[in-house]
Amino acid sequence: MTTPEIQSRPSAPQDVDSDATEQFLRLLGQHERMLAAFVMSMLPNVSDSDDILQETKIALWQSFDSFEIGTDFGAWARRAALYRILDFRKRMAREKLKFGISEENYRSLAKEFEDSTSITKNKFGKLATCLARLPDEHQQMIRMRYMEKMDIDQIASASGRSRAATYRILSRIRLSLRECVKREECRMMHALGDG
Amino acid sequence: MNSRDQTALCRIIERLVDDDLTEQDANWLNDLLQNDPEARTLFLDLTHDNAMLYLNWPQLEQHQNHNTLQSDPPSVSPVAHHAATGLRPYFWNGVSVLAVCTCILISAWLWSAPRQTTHAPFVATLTHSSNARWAESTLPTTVHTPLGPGRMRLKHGTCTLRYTSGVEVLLSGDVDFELIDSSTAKLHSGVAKAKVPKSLDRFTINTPNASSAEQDGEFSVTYNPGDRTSRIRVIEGKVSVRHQQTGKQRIAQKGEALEATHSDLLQADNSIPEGELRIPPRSNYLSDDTMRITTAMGRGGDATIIMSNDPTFLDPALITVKNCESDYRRKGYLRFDLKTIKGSNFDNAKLILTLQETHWAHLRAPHDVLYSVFGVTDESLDGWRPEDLRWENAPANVDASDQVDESKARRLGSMLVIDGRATGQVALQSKELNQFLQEDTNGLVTLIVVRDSPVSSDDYSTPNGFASRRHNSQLPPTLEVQLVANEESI
Repeated sequence: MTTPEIQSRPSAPQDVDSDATEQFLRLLGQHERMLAAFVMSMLPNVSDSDDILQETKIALWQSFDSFEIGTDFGAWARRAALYRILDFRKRMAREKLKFGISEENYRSLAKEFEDSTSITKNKFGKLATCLARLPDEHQQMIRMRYMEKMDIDQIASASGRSRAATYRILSRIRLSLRECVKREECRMMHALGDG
Repeated sequence: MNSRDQTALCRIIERLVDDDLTEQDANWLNDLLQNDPEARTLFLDLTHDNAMLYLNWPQLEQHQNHNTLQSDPPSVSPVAHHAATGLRPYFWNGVSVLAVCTCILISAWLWSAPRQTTHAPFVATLTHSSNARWAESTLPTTVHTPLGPGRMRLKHGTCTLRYTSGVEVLLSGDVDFELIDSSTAKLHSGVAKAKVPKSLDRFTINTPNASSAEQDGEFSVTYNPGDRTSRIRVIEGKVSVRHQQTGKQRIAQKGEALEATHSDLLQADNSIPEGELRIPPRSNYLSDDTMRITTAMGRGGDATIIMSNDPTFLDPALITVKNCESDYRRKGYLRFDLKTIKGSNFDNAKLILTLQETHWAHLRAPHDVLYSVFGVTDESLDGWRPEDLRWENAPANVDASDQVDESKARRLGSMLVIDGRATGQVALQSKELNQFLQEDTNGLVTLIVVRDSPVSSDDYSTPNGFASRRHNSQLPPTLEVQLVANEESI
């Protein structure tokens, strides 16, 4: 299996093998959420991660011929996304448009993500449980961040806090959610007799 | 890793989310990630939680509410199974045929329109429409066209959308529907019905005051913006509904209906047939808090630049825009005088352009045309005079037809003209446009309109035209904003 750098498929739509297309869409459908979560874990800004995700999907389609059916599509897709993220990083650094994570660190983070996919796959329910346990005021701030899509300044203004205080509270919420998810993981492992 | 570093890392992640990282932050972060495996784990945990919260927000909240309700036996019946099991094989056969057709069309789209695909992930396909007349939509309305996130505004008729997740949504009558992602939609007005396959975790339709999620079944949602009331009716299965303002939640079973008013979520009279909310047509009047500014007002202005600088191919009544390889490439320049809104706080900024035939004797392509709008960020360039504007001296111009100098201008969004039509209006409404106007300090803003795609061919070479400030009957390029009281001023 080759890495999914772009290897152009035949360009005429009439050459499309509908089985391959269906297979591609099915696999992409199965792994799309995890792929999006991977890209956003590397690039937490939505606008950047949306662009990378879209570029990745096109690259995956263009190089689908080189994917070996039966191997791990998710891992293949995440490798393709990592290349796009590294390209993006180079472009931003060259044009001095953004400061961000180094290539070496991206590679380490991607490897660590890959090693923990079984944990991240089953996080949804635990996160929902932990969200429900947050105090009302903290739930409200999370709602502002993720439902209202507010930035720090907007949250600070809406909640009547300073910018620094808003950073502090959001940091506390993030850490407490993380601790709670970890506790839930342990609790479930014990419940399954694994712990 | 000490708690101080943990807090600092959290703060950096907030900055990454807001795309606001400084060089100093980046250096600190890179040192930490390189040298501390614990920091890498924490970073990944936190950014993955951020991704989960962002990608699954409505479902996470629904899940949380759903669990709470399910643990409350007196108020909830067991999950109702899909009663119409006999319909399933028929439904899925139909779906598989549709899926194959859709697959072929998607692949054609992936190959033929690479530039468009960079802007929007694929969410659903418009699979059917009947007697449909469309209002101003931000998405294509041609049947079998793959759709990304965006608004679909149907004036009358019916249409069916098939989501990549397998959900089928039927829209009917005067409806304003927004595709958000493969498991979420927002109904701004009218009625939508969703059929959700068993394989999906859940599908959510939000309205401004209610969030309705279903797993395996069928339900309809109606929203009346006049009295801000949502009505949710369950056809099969059960639906979990959350009231946006109060947080109150209820579960409705097959045959039941719920009504969300501006202040409460109530059991509704289910004897009234589906589509029971009368939704009065939207007023033709602008509301009192809406302000419009055109390029014909104050120090405003507009002009077309053409690479050849040959005035023979310009029309003072039109802004013409063309993407081609030759010297006939054109871009539109618009300047607005913000004097009338200076000192006011505003929101929902919108750029409105009026499409016009250009009367050049060439064919106009019957394809969707995508335009990008850029705002000139270097305010020292706002003083251009329309009569003196040339390709060489136009602010932030570069030679490429579809690009500008992004060190002096930034992208504010895109507009789609369906089927290359040359009548009606096209609008750009974006957070970026609103922010750009709010950041203005000299009372003038310059916008540049370029055509992204398709590139002109030998067969179809006519540029697209918009009425300029000198058109004798049509609305010139217009900025519309909604004033917001009691907030900070610009």
